Amino acid sequence: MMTNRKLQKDIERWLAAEAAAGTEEAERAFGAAFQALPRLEPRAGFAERVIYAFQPTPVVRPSEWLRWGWKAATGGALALVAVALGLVPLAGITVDLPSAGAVVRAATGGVTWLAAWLANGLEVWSFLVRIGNAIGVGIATPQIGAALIATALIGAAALYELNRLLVPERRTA
Amino acid sequence: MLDEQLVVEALSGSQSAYRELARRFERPIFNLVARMVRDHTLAEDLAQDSFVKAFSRLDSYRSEQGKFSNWLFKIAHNTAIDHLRKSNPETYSLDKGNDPDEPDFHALLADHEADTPLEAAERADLGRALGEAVDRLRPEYREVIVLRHQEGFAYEEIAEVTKLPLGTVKTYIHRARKELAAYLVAAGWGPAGAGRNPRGNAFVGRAG
Repeated sequence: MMTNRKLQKDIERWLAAEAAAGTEEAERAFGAAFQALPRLEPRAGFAERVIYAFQPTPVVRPSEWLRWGWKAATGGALALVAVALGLVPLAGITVDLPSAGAVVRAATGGVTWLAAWLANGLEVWSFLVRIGNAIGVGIATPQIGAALIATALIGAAALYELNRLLVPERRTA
Repeated sequence: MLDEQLVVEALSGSQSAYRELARRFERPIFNLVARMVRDHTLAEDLAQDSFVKAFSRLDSYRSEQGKFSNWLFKIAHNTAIDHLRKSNPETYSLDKGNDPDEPDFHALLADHEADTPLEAAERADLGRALGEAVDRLRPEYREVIVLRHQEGFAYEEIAEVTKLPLGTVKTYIHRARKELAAYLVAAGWGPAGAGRNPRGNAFVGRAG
């Protein structure tokens, strides 16, 4: 015999209402029976994992006053510059602007200086290239190449032997 | 504290407000996503994605446009639907109990405040049967039925979350209920199948 009368009634009420097409009653009864469906839950620490994944950064928002102050200061500065420029002819100040010829001369001088600087830099590189060539020719010579390989092999063998001798030392230490 | 107040605090840089929002909604959001995708691990990933997306664009939430919970559920809905669209829904196993290494998803989670062990077992049985029946529904039916009957959403709210017309929401819920009833009757839960226990588990009998 079924002990949970309420549960039984909920289910029977729902199924009967569905069969009789009683929509509202079916929905009510179904809602009651559906409470038996367990709610699925995440593993413990889910919220912490969310926060870790999100890493919220503190938002620094300038206050309204600060933003308006900044705008006012910028606007004021621009207005002052405009007024000052307007006053220049009135004050009779002569501004000594460079002529077009002077600008061309300065530009030419700059290009000459830049070319000389680049040539110096290239000279340093050509010196390095000469050293590289000398090393390359040395390695490409059979006798010198053999001597270098032999030296490298002897060095590697010495390191290997040294390591082998030191292993027992390390173990005892 | 209201959700909307927590949002304001979170936006001002309070990490504890974010944490509180995550704690408040971790269970309902996870429940919805898990019911939709039917995979616990995947559901955790998608639920986490939903929260991260929501928190990342928290400044776009406007309280005058609706409740925070609806907004958050909408993001979770979109995340789960995007995943379901990308993956092939047919690849989901409908019978999770066949793999001996796979824990029984519903049995593990079937827990309720029952009066006696027998009632608890009976309720767990129904919970398991309902869970299996819900799993067999189309994802959109599963979603609306969970929103309506586990999260207590109004039809209008479900329409807002799922972006479905109100009539469609009502139709989906009606059809979902009908299909669930048919599954349960076929599984021996109807008056005609009294006493039948298809899974041979703790349930002892349904005859009056």
